[in-house]
Amino acid sequence: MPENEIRKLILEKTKEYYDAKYSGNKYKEGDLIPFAGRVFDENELVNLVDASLDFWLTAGRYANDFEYEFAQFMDVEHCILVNSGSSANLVALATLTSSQLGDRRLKRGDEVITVAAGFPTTVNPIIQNGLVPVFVDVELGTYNIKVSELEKAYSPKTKAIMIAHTLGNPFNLKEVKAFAEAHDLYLIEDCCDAVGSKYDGKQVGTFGDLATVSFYPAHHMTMGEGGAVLTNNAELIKIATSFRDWGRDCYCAPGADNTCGRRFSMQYGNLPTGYDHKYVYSHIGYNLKLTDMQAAVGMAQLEKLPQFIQQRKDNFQKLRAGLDAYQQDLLLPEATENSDPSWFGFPITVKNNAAFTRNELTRYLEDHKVMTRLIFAGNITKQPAYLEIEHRVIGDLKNTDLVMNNTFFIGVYPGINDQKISYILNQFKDFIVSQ
Amino acid sequence: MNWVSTAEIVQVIEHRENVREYIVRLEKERKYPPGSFVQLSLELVTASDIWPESRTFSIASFKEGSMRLIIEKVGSYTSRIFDELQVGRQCTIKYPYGDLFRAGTSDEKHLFLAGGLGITPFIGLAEYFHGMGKIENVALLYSARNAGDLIHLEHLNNLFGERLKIFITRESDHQYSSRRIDIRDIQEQAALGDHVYVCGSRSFTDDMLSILRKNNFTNIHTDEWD
Repeated sequence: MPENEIRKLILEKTKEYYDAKYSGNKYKEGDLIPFAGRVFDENELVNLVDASLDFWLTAGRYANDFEYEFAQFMDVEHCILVNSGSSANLVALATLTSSQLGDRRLKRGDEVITVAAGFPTTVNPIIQNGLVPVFVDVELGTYNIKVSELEKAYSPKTKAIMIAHTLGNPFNLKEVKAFAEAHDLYLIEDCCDAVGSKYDGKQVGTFGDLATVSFYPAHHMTMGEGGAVLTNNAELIKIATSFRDWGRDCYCAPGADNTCGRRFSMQYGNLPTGYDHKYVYSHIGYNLKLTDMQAAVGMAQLEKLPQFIQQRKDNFQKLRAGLDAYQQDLLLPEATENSDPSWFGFPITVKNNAAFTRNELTRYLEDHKVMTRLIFAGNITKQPAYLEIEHRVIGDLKNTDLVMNNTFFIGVYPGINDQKISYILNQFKDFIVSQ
Repeated sequence: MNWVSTAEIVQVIEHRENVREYIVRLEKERKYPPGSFVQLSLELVTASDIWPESRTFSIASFKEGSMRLIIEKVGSYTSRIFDELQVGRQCTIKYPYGDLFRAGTSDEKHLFLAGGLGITPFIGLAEYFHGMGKIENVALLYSARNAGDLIHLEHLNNLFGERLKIFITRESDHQYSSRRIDIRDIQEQAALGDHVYVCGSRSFTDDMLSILRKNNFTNIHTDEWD
């Protein structure tokens, strides 16, 4: 049988396998309701097997198509895939340290404004590159940076801002961007939890110099492991690609040679003229590429992304309406003004005067199969790994501490249907009524 | 970002015995920066294959719907291209590559120095500037050995008008300047801070770079090949 017919047969069998293995999984009350998870059909499996049959393993035809299609979706010029959202943050921040940026590069000791109530790998690249994080407090309700504190955070050493759109809720891009422009600062938008969120009618990720995205299974769409760096700046994407690909100067794709046409004729650094361009390194880089099998899954997920985003918004609204009666005890989330969030989760803060604590409520929900999560590191300055890092804090991070002590979130992902929403709301009701 | 696409030959224009223009339609047509170049392979492959033998060609256009490549037969691979790439035939193109032109500078002044088939990226760049309504910011000095070697002259005249100067180096021609481009020609069209782009043979590029550097031009951009 010819190779292409065998492949066709395998892919048909893969669809059958999906039906046999996954299509019968139905929720019944009492089953665990995760805060997030993979939502997929036979197309993800077919693409995955198709890519594996190529046995190209590294980034290939699916990655090639994904980078273009995802850039179109996010309304940016350039997208490069990396192996995680955390890697995307590392590449994005490292990009700004490139000597190719001249006087505008970030240098050791420069300061980067961020928040302490977030995920560690928004902050880690700052520390890993010898820069100093400056922690600004957050607002309650939106859980985003308190923009009124930005000017207080500025010093002559401030060179960049790197913050996430918390749980999909865009931060105040108008104020942050104006502040960045006024002080000539770079802005990195961590959109790992915010794919599809809009601010002033535009996609998040289009406002800053660079943006990052995660495709971990908990996120808006998944590749298993995966992430992306986005920008409209051709110079920055070239540097980002170099940092992703070992720091090399050469930009040949895997399996290609002499794309530049000058492989053996140029002179770099103190190397002899004609030293093979494939082995010229212009940055202290990493290898953070992903495989084509991950991108293949991503291509199938991308088809579903608009629907996923809508389902997240719908689930958020249903939870918001269902929990509205408990505002005496619970602070419910608010979308940032002028934004249309594609929510990652539904954050809730238990008020200090409530009849119960955050931990009592989350323990009850967990005991009743409703998965909960904290807002990641809480106040990251209090985490063991960060106790001795060089940093600055603006004010007392009062709200950040409140987030650490009183806030948690539940899921809104597309795997949560009306039956599950109803069950979740009943658990809140039963708990609060019993207090 | 670079993409691999199948390309179908939709038209072949013979400029002269060893120079042909191939108009191709890409299966995956995507936006690319003006002045980019492509890798062309006669093999049909995807991005999940070892990239086969290929050659590099500047894109001589900046219009949606098709891509123009001007190819000179200089060796065995380009001979194969001439023999095998007929209308209707498919090949593989990987694109875009290059950083000849930096976006965001279209309001500044630009001078293109083209030697022979080095004109190709400048055709695409000129179409880009024309499309932006900024073609008056650009001038072109176009040098060729013989008047018969000039390509797309009518198109270039329409785009540049008075800002196109032609130099013929191997014959006398009453229509054009029968000499090499020199510093006075450059200084007539460009001030020291302007962007100057050079594309042509190795000797043309070296000559132009030497003149430009000696006369303190600093914003120099080249499109060079081994």
